[in-house]
Amino acid sequence: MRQRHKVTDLTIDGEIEAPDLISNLPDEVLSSIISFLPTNEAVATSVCSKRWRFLWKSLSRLSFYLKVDVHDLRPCLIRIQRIEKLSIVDQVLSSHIVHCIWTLSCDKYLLRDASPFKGCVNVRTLKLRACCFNEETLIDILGNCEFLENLSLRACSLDTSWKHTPILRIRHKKLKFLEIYHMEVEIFYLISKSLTELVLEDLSYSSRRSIIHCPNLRVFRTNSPGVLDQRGTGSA
Amino acid sequence: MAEAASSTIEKNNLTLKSSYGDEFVLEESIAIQSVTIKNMVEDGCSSSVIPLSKVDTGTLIKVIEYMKMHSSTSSNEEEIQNFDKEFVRISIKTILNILEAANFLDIRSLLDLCAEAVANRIKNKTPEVVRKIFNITSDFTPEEEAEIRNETPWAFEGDLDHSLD
Repeated sequence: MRQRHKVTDLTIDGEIEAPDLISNLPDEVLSSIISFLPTNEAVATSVCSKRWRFLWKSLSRLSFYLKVDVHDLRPCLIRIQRIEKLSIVDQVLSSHIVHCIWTLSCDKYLLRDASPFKGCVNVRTLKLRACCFNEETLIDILGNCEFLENLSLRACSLDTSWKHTPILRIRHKKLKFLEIYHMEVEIFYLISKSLTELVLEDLSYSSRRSIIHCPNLRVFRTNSPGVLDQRGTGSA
Repeated sequence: MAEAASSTIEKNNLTLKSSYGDEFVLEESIAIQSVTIKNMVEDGCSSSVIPLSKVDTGTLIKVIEYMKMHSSTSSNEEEIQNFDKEFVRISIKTILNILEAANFLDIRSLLDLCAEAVANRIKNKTPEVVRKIFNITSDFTPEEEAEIRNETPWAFEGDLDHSLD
């Protein structure tokens, strides 16, 4: 009890000493705070003061979240094709020291090409949620992120305007974990020797035309256990 | 169960001294969650008192509380999660003090816990409110600030919270 009293006194003393709450903290600690913010808010802290001006440029975790108020994902997918917010990702990544990024999430973006991902060699975790991209773009993104270990695709859709068959092609030498939720494709190619864990939930594809080759897979989770055979007979 | 097991082995204790001179005795196995202390122990400083001149008593008590919980073998993951949740239900000033200590002591998990807790307090807030929360005085001229806002206009879009809570 005696100790507790003392603590309170000391805290009050401390409060008088410090002029502002964060001047004692080193820059890397401030960076770690703003790295837990959505990227647009982290970037907005640049106007707080000169000290904050470039803090966000050394973030190792970026999460892009397009603020669209939608409850259902489907209208949202139609919407993102109109809004085309890729320029934001592009702008941030190009002004960012891209090789610092370890985790990258994009929420509701239309990814027209992989140019914003150039130089993202150190990205270990990539999360795309409700994003729209075409077959080639994803291949290029994965090519840029050569040390990628975790890939998550949630409610994404393939842009098939240039090609009729929706093909999801994932080929990677370092990938260890892959999860795909809610996607509709015709052909699914997955070739990865390094992959050890795979989660497929509500992914529909024709197994007759698809190839999954992951010799080192240890964990495979899916909501329909017979997904391969079932889909195969369905499309045959 | 943990006590029974540990009482049979001879425990190595360390003494940590806060910036106010208060001393705390802690098992070495618990204290070495701090990479800074671990390095000191490895360099042979463990026999004497370890002075932590940058950590005040109140903060050190919290840090020790955290390290004890996170090294306890009797608590499960859910208990630790609940502990973490409660642990950061304190004033932002206290969290920032712990954050500074966690950075100095190099306890990664505590640093992340506190950084996320601080981020949650400033999430969805306008830069003006963030300034108020941290007590930052802007050293930009209005022109400079407008220029920065112009560089990344999308970062300032959307409905952000103007309130302080």
